[in-house]
Order: sequence, then C-alpha cells, then structure tokens
Amino acid sequence: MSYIKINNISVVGVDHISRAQSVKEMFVKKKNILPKKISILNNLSFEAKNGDRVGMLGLNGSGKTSLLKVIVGTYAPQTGTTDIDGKIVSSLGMGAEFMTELTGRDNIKLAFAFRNNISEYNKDVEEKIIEFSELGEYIDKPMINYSSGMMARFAFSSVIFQRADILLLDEVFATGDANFISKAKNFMTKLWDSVDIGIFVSHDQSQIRDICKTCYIISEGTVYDYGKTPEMIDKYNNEILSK
Amino acid sequence: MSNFYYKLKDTFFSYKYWSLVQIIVTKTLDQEYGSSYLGKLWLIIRPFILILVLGTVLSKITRFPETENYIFFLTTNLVLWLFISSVMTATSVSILSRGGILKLCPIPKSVFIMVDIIKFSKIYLLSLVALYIVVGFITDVDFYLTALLFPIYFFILLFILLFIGIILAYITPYIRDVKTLIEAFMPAFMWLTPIMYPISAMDGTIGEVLKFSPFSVMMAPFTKILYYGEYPSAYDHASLLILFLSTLALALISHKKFSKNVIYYT
Repeated sequence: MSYIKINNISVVGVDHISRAQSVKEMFVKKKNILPKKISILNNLSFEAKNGDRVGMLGLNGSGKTSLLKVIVGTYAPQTGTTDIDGKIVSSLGMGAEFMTELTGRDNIKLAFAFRNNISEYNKDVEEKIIEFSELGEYIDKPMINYSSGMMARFAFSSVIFQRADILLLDEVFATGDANFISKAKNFMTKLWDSVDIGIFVSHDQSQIRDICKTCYIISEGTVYDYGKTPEMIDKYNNEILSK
Repeated sequence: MSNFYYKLKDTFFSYKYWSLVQIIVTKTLDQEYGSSYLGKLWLIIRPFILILVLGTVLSKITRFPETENYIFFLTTNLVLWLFISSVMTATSVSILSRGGILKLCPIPKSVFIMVDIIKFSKIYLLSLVALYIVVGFITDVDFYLTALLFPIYFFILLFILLFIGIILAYITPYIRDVKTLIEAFMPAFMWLTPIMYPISAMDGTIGEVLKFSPFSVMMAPFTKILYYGEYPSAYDHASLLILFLSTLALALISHKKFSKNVIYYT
C-alpha cells in the first residue's frame, strides 16, 4: 500500500551568485559567506495514495521538479513533514549518473546501482534495455561516442525496466526521435497503469489530460490549487498562463 | 545504544550501498587506467619514480643511522603518505563535485566519500605490495612478523580517514577554497611528518611537536610494524585513540550541522 503524505514543507535554497564561494571573494569582492536564501517551496502540502495518477502543471521555476526531489528524498525540507511509503523510480537524473568514458553496458549496471536496485540487475533485463534502446553494437562502445538521440534513448531505457511502486516522470518525452517517442509512450502507458502511484510533470496539457485523473497547479513554490484534471487545466490557462 | 547505532549508520554509511560503491570504484579505476598503454602499471611506476629520485638524492645528502635501507623506509612511508594525502584532497570535493547527481539520485552523500576512500585504498594496497616486491629485488629487505598487524592498523586508519573525509566533504561546499588549501598545505606537512626521516632525527622541541601532529600519529604504527619490526607503543595507541575519537566527534557534528542543507550549496 503506497502513499505520499507531504505536510506544510518549506525548502529554502541558496543564491549562488550572491555568496562568497572562496576566501578571495570574501575579502576582495566583499561578498558574504552567508548567502542570500531563496525560497524554493513554501508551505506546500501534497498527498497521493494507491491508484492516484497525478499531473503537475506550473510555469518554469514554479517548484514542480523541486517537489519531485523532495518526494525522491534528495531535497530535505527545512520545515514540515514527509511520510512516503513505496519504492520510487524517477525519471529525474535520467542519465546524470552515466560515466561517458564507459560503455553503455557498463552504464546499465550503474543506472541500477544509483537507484539502489542492483538486486534487480541481470543479463535478461540488460538485454531488454539494449533491445528497447535500439543501440545494437553501440552498447559496447564508450558512451562518449553516442549521439544525443542515442543518449536520450539509452537514458530512458535504463530507467523504465526498474520495478516501481511510485513512478515520477518529469518531462520524460522531451527528447528522442519520433519513432522512439511513440514506442516509449506505449511502453510508459503500460508501466503507468501498473504502478501504485504515478506523478507526471509536463508542459504538455494534452498528455496530462490523457493520463492523469487529478492535477496540482504549482505556482511560486506552493500549491495554487488541485482537483480534477480538466478543471485544473482550464484554471491554469486562465489564471496562471494568461497573466 | 540502538539509536546511537542508527545515527552512526545514517552519518557514515549503510551497507546496502556497498555494491554501488564497489561498482563505481571498479569502473572509475577501469576508466582511469584502462585506456592507457601501461594501465595499472602506473600504480607502481608513479610512486616508484618518486621514491627512486628522493631515495637517491636524500641518501647522498644526509645519513640516518636508523634507516639503513633508506629505499625501503621511504617506500613504507611515502606510499602511505600519498594515500592519506590523496584521500584528503579527493574527499574534500566528494559532495561538491557530485552535487549534480546527489540532487537527482536518492543516494546518501557518504557514498561518494566512501568511493574516494576505497578507490585510493585499492591503489595504496596494490602499489605497496608491488613496490615491496620491486624493492625486495633491488635491496635487502627484512620482512617482520609484526607486518601481520597491518590489517588492524589499516582498518583503524580507514575509519579516521572516513571521519576526516566527512568533515572536509561537508565544509567544502560552504568554503570552496578548502581543496586548494589542502593541496597547498599537504607538501608542507609532508616535510613536517616523519616520512623522509625518522622521528628521532628531529630532537628537541620540534621533535616533540611533530610527534603530536595527526599525520605522525596516523603513520607511526605503520613505520614501526613494517620497517622497524616493532610493536607500536602505548603512546602510539593512546594518540590513535584520541585522534579516532576527536575526528569521530567532529564528523558527527559536521553531519548534524550541514547534512540537511549542504546539497543546496553544491
């Protein structure tokens, strides 16, 4: 029984430009070692339970991805509580863990290890990833030789074969060629239906309308409103996008 | 007690991430050495050149009666020093340089500190064994039974380095000059630590001060069990214990103070 309960969290980040990043900057440029704080998420509450398929709408920088980082556990909120149960697989950081000097085959293992799923890694799943990513013999070449399309296909494939109770997707179909995007969408639809909880962040409203029953609007680091997807999309267009 | 155990595990390392550490270490070493013509032979060649040059030059300009086999003495100390110094430099940016991944992948920050420590441990052990074999061929080397104590002291050293690594890794994102400061001061500390000379060569106040240096404390047991064939003294053990506990305390404080927000500073 998976669930996500996030209650009144605030996440405060750091303005890297204003802070002194070295002793030199502290004395010569008179920058303060204590940086200016930036509010990333502000008194935000969010809940999801078994069977929920949640879409997230919001402008760039509104806090959608930061909320996913809180759910994944990489951002620790300074205030508020989080209570999450279920195995999370996220498209966040898809490819960030890759060591491009190594081959694709080596990096499949890394993709599992970085998500603490190494026990699920085996030759069968490796073959499935190679086949799905359509890399062929390139799988045994260093990734530094991959084109951006190959990299995108590989990054996507290396994540989707990992078992999940909670699936977090952040602009996942933004890259890759048209054929692959179509194949990936079909695969993702099946995966989306099989998990306990699905959260989908996208600017593509038609996709959100197709696969999400409910929707959150995130604005300026907090929940602007939430409810049924068609109503939220209208509200988002009228009250946020049109501003 | 169990709360304290979980606190330590949370601060330092959880065993479930051990396979991740192993994979990253293996792949990183393959990446660093696999593509060069001489591969892992560089692990021996690099320190050996340094030992050969320093051994030749220093043995001409000075004589230490306690160090008859100066090359062996230098091999024992210098390879260990390179290990300690490399670990300190690398762990100082363990979190900072991997901020991008840590913001996206839900893994503990200590994973990369462990990666750096295990990677350089492997390099150290490989280099030490290989260099002892080489030095054994070219000079008369006496191996003592006390060398069997090596794993115990090495294990203690690994923990001290892990604690130091945690302190440095958490501070560097806040003060970015830490790595440069380490790189600047380590060559100075190399000469302030009995690496090229026995501690007895420094008599008087300087000798007494050098004995208290954390680096001397870390290195003394190894010089004794590997080179002199002696058991470390009660003083050595007391100093190691103090260093162990003080670095542990500082690591716990650093973790408590910085672990929650450090990610926003990377």
